[in-house]
Amino acid sequence: MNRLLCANFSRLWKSKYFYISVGVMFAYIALYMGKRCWITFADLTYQETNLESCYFRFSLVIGLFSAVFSTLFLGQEYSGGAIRNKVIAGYSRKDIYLSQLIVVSAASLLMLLAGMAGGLVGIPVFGFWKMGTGQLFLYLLIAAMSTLVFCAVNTYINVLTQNKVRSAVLSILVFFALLFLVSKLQARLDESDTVFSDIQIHGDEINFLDPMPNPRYVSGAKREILDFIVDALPTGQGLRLASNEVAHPVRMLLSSAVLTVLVTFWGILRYGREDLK
Amino acid sequence: MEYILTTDALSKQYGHFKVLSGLNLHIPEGAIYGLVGKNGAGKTTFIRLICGMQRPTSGSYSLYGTTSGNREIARVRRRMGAVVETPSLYLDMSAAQNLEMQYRILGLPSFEGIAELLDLVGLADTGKKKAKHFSLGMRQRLGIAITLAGEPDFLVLDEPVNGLDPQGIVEIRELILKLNRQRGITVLISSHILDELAKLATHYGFLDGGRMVREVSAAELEAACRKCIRVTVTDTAALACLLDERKVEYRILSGQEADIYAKLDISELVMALAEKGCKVVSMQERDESLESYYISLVGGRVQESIQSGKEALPQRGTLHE
Repeated sequence: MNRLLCANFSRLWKSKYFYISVGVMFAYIALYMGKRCWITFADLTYQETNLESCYFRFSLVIGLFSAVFSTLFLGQEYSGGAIRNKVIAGYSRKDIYLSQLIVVSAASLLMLLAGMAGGLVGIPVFGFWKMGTGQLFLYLLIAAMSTLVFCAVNTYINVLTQNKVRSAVLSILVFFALLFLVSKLQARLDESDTVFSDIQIHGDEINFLDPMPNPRYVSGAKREILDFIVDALPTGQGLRLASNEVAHPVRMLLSSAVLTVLVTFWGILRYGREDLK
Repeated sequence: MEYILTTDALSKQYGHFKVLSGLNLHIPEGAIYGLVGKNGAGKTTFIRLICGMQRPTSGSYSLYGTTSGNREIARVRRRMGAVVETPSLYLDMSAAQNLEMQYRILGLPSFEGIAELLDLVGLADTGKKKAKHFSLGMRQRLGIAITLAGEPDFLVLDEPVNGLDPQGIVEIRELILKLNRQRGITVLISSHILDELAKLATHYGFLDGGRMVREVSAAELEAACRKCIRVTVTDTAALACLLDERKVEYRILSGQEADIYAKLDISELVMALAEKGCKVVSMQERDESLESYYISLVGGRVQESIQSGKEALPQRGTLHE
């Protein structure tokens, strides 16, 4: 396993895809923060009070970066047939799978770090974080753990889908499908519990008339379930980190740990039975 | 005889399709074993099984005395090297970098042998050129160099000359012979290019429909496939008369052509024929090819996938004593 890790990491340090991914992640977050700074300067009515309100943007996009990088990096093992050298050299499928997961995770965490560094561009305008150090580290830990879930999913897809194009499409599709799902769920959770049938405006005064229950409002056990799903999925965690709405940090961390272990366990099991070509 | 690899009723099935069906095969130590079969006969599937890339549906194989069910098989497999279908390379790396990767995978302490390996396969002057810019023959040789990094005793090459130009074919052939003769490496080559295989193999296994039809040594095959001299003359009756006088085995093919199954003094034959008023138009040494032997084994069907360049010879049946 150590030899495999040594070989995989030596390839990672030489991989242009890795450096491009890290660079693009840094540039994207830096530009995003720069844009938020400019908006704050240009529009005085705009209320951007602290750094953290836009700092955690990287947690929302890390899944996409990880998907693209995993496809390009792991795809090379299959497109050139190099994976066969590892099998013939006598390594178990489990070791091969885990070594690939570890290197993809390390690369994705470094991309996350690049995103975190890019976010520091906002400091001159917004100042430092207003949240406590403990909470900041908790948020970063949640971002790191959700990144590991993405890595587990992307490793699963890329190791078990030997066709490079198919695995690329699948990885990116899974990310957007998860993002779409949590956006829909969050939209339902954000529904107001009441709606108003009419609005009267008298000068500066606005009156909302006939409040009635919102039929789209989700309550009770169903709300709990939707809330849990958004907390559990890595895209949901990204969404909540980006909007600073982390209500159940322990639940998020545990969900990420369980999902990573389950996907990896299932991947190793399937890879062990897979006929390689 | 010591065998490096043996199989016992090895079978592989994909869904309802049986690719290997009770294959029994024996590869002696030090041999160049040619695995012959048309496309879809199960050659590559067999190689994938012994390389650990796939598991047999039933049956087993034994590598250096360790059976496939034994956990030790993965460790024993390190004594072999294989190029399955296409060479296993990182296309965005140079030849030396590819070898460095393999050295790391194998856990070798230094990169000392890389220059020697590149020299052995004739890629010493490729420098920083990436493998994706290599010709097919260069990639094939780099693939072999990678398999040699672990100093294997047993080399498995799946269709090593497929798609190569004549120069590339010669280079690969010479490399395989060098490895076998100088380093004592046992080689398993699967191929359907029979002419090429005939120049290398010391043993043959003929595969058809996932079954082993026959295993023979090159010596046994040579005895079965007799060499002959094909002569074109103006009068085969005169030639037949002359050969009958000398009690030489021959076969008349047409009014002008005949095959002679003996070594003759050519000058004396030409002069004797001239005395009978018969001119010798051409003379050519021929083998009854590996191809015709294979076709006779698998039922006489002319296989499109068997690429030989030679016409299959007619079956011997009209011999004149």
